[in-house]
Amino acid sequence: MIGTENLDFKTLMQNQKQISKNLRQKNEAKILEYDFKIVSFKLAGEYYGIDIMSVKEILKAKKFTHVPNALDFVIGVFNLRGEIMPIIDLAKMFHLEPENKSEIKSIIIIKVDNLLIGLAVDEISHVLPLRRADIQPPSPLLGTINERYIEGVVELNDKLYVILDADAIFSDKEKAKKDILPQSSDLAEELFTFFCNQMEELNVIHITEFNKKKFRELFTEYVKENNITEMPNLTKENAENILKKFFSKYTSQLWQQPYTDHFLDAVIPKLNRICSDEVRALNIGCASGHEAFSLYFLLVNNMKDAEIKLIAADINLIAVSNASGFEINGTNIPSWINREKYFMKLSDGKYKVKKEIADKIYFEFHNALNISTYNRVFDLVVARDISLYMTEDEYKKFLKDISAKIVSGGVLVVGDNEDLGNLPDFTKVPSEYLSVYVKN
Amino acid sequence: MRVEYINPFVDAAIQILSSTVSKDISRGQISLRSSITPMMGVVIIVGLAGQVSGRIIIDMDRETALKIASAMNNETLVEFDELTTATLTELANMITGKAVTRLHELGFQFDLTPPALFTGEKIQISDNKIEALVVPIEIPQGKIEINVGIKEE
Repeated sequence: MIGTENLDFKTLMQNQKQISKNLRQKNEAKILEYDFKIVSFKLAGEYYGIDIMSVKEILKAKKFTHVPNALDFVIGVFNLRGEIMPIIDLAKMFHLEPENKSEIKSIIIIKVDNLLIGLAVDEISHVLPLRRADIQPPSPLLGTINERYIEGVVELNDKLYVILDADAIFSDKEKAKKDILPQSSDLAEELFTFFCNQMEELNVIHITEFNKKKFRELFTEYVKENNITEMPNLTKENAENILKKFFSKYTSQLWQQPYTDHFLDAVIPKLNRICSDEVRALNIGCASGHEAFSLYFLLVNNMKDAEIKLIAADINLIAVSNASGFEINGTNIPSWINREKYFMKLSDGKYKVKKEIADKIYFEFHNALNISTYNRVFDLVVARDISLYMTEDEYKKFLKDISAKIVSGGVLVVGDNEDLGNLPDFTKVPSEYLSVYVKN
Repeated sequence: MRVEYINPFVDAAIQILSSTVSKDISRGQISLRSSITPMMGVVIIVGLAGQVSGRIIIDMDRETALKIASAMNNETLVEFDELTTATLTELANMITGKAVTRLHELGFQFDLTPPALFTGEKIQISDNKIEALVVPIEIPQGKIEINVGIKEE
């Protein structure tokens, strides 16, 4: 079981207190021009502030209704003149030790994206005018998550106020739902959500129902390897390494055996059934061409009587522009590819794909979200790991659109670790190594 | 959009604008669009036919259009008269002509239709069967968007 420890908030705050004291001594004389107001409040013995513009109302604590099975920092729901809102215990949410386990005294109601949320705090102090310029950005030592939630720190009357960024904590309805009202109260689940949010932010990807399963495995692995007992705090490097494990086999490499054999086993018999003289294939997300050329060579080698018409598309213009002049180090060309036939040898061990081969593939600058604009249909679509770069709704739309572009009996190959669940109109091909679907 | 088509259009637009309008020119992020596109107010359309079909749309607001026409004629134009429209259609002709010449050299066969100029507020182009390349270009006179949609038969 994973337990949460307190983040070392207080020590860090004291550090910052010292730093800002020094700074203050340097510029004693200031012209006072206030342009920003905060509502200040006390939480676990420390002072915090929140932008008054996001505050709707301040209340004395009243009775609220407890919600079973909610996250532990959700105290319950509250009815304010007919509007129901969740009440959140900020101290618990930030893993602060409450000063005394007494009842909650005050509630600040904030409005974020039309969503009302009540924040339970120990004590409301004042409304304080500030100058935006006085707010010092949070120290990077506080870690990415904390830094994200904190707009800055400001010193007033010898007290240090941490200014919370209400939008960052509660904005984005989807995230708010995930953070505030998840289905399960399980702490491990909360940590996993945290982990996913960090992965999404650091890698600029989307973790959705189509790829969550693998990330759950990767999370479990990460927790075991690093003995994580508290909120995971990923570095960019960590996050990139974890993401690498998600990618399908031989991403950004020419495909090697036995992966090619698995691919052929799963795909070629299906294609033989529907194609005799021509295979119309589409490779989405071909990047710099490794996948497109692997696919082309595989089809040419194994569908000898058919003409291969391959379109390779990517949204990265530079990558896809370079793909038609594909170059690779000789050592990275696997033995199943006939290098004399398809490549020209350059100096220093590099090989460049022959122009007449590259011309057979139609490289295209294309956004997979606009797939419905294609006026042709395909026998084979390879779109590995696309779900990472689309929101859940976008990917659903993509699946719907691509389904209309695949002929009956045609094959859709997605990322090895992507799981499309029960995709309408498609039957999953049993394969241990790849995710392959056949259109009914 | 076939990658070979992209550079000729981007280069032609930048070359023509920098030699006729202003040297101080910068290109924004190239993007792809397929939905209904609102236009800024002055729209010049050139059709493409031949090996492929499609259209090139050059779009700017009225003020920018007047400033560009003024710069190209070396006099201050304040009204949207015949000279202004002739100048703007000529600009479109130059840009598309140059791009198509470049594409001919690369072995692609295209024919052009004469440019047509539309002005009006709240113009929308709905062309959802085509994925268009959008090249935003900034010059001191304002912002121009070149929207290229090409479809292969």
